[in-house]
Amino acid sequence: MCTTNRKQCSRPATWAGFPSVRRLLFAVLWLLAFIGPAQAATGRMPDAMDVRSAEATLEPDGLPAQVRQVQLPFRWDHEFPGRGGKASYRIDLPAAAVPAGGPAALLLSGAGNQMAIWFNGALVATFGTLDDPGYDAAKGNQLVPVAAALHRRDGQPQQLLIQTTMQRQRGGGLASIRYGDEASLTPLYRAQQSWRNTSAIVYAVSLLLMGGLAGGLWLRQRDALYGCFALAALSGVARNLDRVWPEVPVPWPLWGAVVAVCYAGHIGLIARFVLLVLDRNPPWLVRSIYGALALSVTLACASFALALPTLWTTGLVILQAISIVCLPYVVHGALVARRRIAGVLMAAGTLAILAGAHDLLLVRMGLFGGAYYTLTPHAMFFFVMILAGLVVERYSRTVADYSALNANLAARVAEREEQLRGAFETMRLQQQEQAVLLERQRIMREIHDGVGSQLVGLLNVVTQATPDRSVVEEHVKLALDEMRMAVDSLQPTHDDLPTVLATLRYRLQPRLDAAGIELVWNVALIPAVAPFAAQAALQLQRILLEAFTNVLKHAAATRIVMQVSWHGDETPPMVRIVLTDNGRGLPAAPAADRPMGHGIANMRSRAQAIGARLHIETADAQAGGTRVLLDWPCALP
Amino acid sequence: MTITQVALVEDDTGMRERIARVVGADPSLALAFSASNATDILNWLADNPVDVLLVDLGLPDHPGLQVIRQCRSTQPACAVMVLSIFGDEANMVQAFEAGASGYLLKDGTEADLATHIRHLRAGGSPMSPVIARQLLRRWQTRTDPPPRPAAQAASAAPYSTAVAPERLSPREFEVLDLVSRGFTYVEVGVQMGVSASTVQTHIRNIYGKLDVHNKSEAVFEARNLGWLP
Repeated sequence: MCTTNRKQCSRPATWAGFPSVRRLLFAVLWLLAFIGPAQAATGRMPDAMDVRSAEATLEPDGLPAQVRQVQLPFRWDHEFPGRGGKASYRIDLPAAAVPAGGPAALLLSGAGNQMAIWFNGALVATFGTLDDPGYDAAKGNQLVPVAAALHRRDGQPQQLLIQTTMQRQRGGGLASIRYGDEASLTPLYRAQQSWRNTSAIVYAVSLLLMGGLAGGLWLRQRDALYGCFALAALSGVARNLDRVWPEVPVPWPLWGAVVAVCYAGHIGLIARFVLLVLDRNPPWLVRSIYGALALSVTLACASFALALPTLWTTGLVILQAISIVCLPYVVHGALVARRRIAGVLMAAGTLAILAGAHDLLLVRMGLFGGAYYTLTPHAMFFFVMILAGLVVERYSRTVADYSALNANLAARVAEREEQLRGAFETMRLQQQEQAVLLERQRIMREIHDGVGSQLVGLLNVVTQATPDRSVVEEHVKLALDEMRMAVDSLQPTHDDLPTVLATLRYRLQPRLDAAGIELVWNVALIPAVAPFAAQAALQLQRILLEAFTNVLKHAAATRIVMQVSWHGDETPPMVRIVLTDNGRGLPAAPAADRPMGHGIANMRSRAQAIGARLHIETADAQAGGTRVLLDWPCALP
Repeated sequence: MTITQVALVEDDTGMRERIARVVGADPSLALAFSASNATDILNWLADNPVDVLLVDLGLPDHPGLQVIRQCRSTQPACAVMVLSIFGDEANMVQAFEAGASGYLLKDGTEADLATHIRHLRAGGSPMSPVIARQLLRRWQTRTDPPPRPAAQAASAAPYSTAVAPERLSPREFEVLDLVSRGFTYVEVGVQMGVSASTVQTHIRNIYGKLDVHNKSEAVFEARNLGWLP
């Protein structure tokens, strides 16, 4: 017998059990998952009937065959868990259901795993080959056009025979049959197919891309979060592929085990990922997640190996449980710690857990009326978006951090530069002050020792009862000489030895001319020496001035030869100054001529002060004359 | 004999009087005007031609250099002499650039002033080793690429930097080098194989090349024709 149902029902599944809960769940999940085309299409479909029951001949492996009326959707795995077998369904379609206008068609879902369809005794379609597990027709919807010629015209019901073969644990059975106008069923079929395929392909591709991206990030950064997501995403690909791929080249039930293991990995790792995102990793929970993961993987394998579907159901229950255990942490993060990411995770996690519960209870166990469409893939897709958002967020934050760091560094560098400049400036000022101080001390000492002592001498002369006019003049001239020496030592060219010597001559020449003394000037080229200390220049000038003054005062000479030569090949390089006169020569007893002796002692001490060697000797044994020889070692720059 | 008309600007009264005395004592010189500040002398110079102007660089109202420049532009035939304190030769390079052609040290040797003025009128220009060294550095710095920011070059040439400096000839460089090493003009002439008067001409040309501000060929020729026998 079959029953007809012209009511515009949105789902082939019956709304028994907890319709309100079911509707709520349905509305929340499917609205958020953008699911709707198929449902909307069903709602608008006027000219079709749903088949609610069928007369089934069931031949499970290892059990006696039975013939009975079954309600649709009929789940083979529920009736005969862990067994394959054959089933054929007889359905009488009432004559009234035959579409009046255009050609008729059948729309089947969840039918298989392999299927042959007969309409009024004529084979109208096959999906896979009966008993050949290489093809799984139950994964998709099937649209079977029924030619008008095949219909009975005598008012009798149309006889529909569906022969199926099932493999164990493969979700076989007969979920729904819709019969009606082909013109109205085709768009429905297309919408369902395209939605189903599109969503599965979009999810699979997204998971692959994001899994790959996360894997790449993990390779570069070794961040467990990315590694975990990469594994989770890649393991989620198998399930989505499986939804739209009827001819998987892996034999059943091995493929079933692969998909189940991947699914377990997907769920378990997503749970771990959530904790990593929250950065809340209580060891017991982490261990529990891995334990649950290992257990459910084991159960999945055992389930398919031992043909015990309950084991895999248990595995799913464990995964669901561990997901629920994680939820409080997410909720805490969202509501107590007020973290935005935790809020997003809470939404996604709640949806995933509800979807998981839906899939487990309704799809897997068939409770509350059962359901054929799983929601978990849709809910899990949110995690892909979360990861994408997370990567974007982290990247933006990194960029922002870097620019902030750059700005900070630049500011600190500028600050340091400022400090350094300040310190440098201070040091420069200090050095400058120090140099000025030293120079000032030197000038004070020179004025005191030079002009000062001459003026003191002058004072002694003028305070005598009858000062000798010529002696006074002599003293004044000496004081002027001293003053000129001191000023010359401040000339900007005082670091140039030839110019220092030249200046000395320039000052003395008028006096030599007046005394009728010829000066032979023989000054060689002297390279630039190390910054010629003002002190040394002054001492050299003083020594030579003393020597010239001695000649002028005592020697009665007519000719002075000034020879300056450069000895750069000596170590250290040396300037030799030789001053020779043709005068009286050195006195036999220096002590007898006090000023002379005093002058020579001065010359010696000045030479010593600049590290020079001074020799004063008789120039010529016969002709007489005096030679002053000064060797001054100087450093090259 | 033509009497050389001398004008003087000097803010130190004692110095001014000593110079006036020396000039008055020399029959070939006559003190036409004596001022204590730049404004007075510039006003006077506007209307009265003079042969020699003595300028103190440190005047109270305007820089002495400004007086020199103005005099050179209004009275190109007037020879300007700088009255300088001892040791200020470095700053005299600026005076030469402004157009001065001689200097006198205020170190008690004013008695020789008349000699100096006559010497200057006869075409002689004194040059101390320090000035020669300064000028040598100045031109070496100019011709050296890239120019070193030598302090003395910068301070020595605040006005001439905008004007393309005239280059020295190798002979002029040689003269400067020998003078800076203490050789007299006669000795320089002997070393270079020329007469002392040729050396003097080189020196004068060097000063002329410094006088970039007011220098014109006509003025230079006039000076040559008028002052050189």
